[in-house]
Amino acid sequence: MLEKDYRRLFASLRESVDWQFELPATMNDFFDRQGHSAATGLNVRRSPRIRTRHKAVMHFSDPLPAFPRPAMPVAIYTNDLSRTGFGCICREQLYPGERVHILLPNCWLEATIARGRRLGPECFEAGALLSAAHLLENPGFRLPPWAASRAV
Amino acid sequence: MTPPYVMISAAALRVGQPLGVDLYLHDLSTNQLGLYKQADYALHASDLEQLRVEGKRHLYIHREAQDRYHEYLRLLVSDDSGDTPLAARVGAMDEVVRETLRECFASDDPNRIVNTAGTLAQMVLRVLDGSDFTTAELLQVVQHDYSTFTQSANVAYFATLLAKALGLPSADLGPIIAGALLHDIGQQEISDAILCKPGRLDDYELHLVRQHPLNGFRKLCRHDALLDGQLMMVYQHHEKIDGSGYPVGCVGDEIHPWARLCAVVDTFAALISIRPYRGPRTHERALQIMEFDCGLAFEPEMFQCWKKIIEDCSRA
Ligand SMILES: [Fe+2]
Repeated sequence: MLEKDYRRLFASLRESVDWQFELPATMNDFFDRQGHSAATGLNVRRSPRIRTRHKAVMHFSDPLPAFPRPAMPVAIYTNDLSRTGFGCICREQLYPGERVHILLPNCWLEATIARGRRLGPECFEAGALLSAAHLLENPGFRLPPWAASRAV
Repeated sequence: MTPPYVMISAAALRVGQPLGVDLYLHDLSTNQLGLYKQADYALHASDLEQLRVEGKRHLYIHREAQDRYHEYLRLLVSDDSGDTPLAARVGAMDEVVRETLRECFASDDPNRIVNTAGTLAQMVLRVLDGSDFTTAELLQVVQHDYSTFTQSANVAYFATLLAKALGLPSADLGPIIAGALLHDIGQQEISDAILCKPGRLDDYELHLVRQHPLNGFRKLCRHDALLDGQLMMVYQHHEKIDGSGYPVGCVGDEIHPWARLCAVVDTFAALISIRPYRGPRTHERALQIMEFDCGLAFEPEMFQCWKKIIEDCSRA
């Protein structure tokens, strides 16, 4: 039952969020590039990242006091994922310290934004540290607290 | 071992009033400190003139007398009766700001740091905004060593001047000064060995240094007394309007106006400071260097306004 609720929630949110933002031209092959990703430059990563590029949804679960965020989730493209971290691309600039929930087809993640980088007009990438992963396949799976009412 | 003497600024000395602590001067010929005036001596105008002529900008006091000296400074700063010359008040303000920042940044307690920056900002505002102090006098008082505290203090004073000249609302001045005092708080996490390295930084060291806006923002971002503009001064003061800055690479209006203002005065303050690998640049040279980047790094209107402030002051 919960699984169905989550899938319905994810599908409806993915439909309703605004996807009107463009990746820079240099990223035309963004969705073709999946698989292992090397750490770039001097950003030392604790565990290897896998490129997983999909449409997903992000909810600001605990915004910063000085930067209020809408209650409605926003559209993101997932970029890469590791055991400890998550990268995404979105229209908004995300700030270090913001706590977010990221909804993917088979799980939702709790994460804290660690860094951001501008890619182009209204297009930013962000790296986040994961604090919890809620997998649909796990027996203790629950919906994000803010979404429970939406899913019914 | 902690050295028994601490350096103080000659700018905070006042004529006609005993300091209450013994003053020492550095004797270049012996490379020793010698007693200059005893605690009960009331300085004369000719004493200060003599120090100025001899280029002695710093004196020393015994570490044990530091508390008494700080009390003297605080009284001086808060004396707006007109009895204390403005130059001495500004000199005392500068000493209080730098010493207080040094103490509170070391505490690593965001609440204490934010509250202290707010209190210091009000003090700076009272002294700089409520007086006829000229830019030239201020530029004579400020220190030029490149410590985070001196840089933060100077950026706060310069930000006050630029914000006023740009006609920003007076209610913004206090928060802008506090933001300027906090803007480099992230440098606390970088070792002195890197910050004071005499040679060029290697790639890894540069990477660490470039993390400081991010580290500073992370430290303060959950503090609900801070405004978005103040946090952006911390996070975006190394952004450039052409997008070539860090940590995000924001362009133009994506950079908060207070952060754009901070970038102008922060760069100027850094250029006129003494670095381990070079002496201070003259004001004219600093403006020339910045003009080269104007429109790429800085908002032209803000830079031109700052340039006018400094040029008018040189002319005067
Ligand atoms: Fe900085």
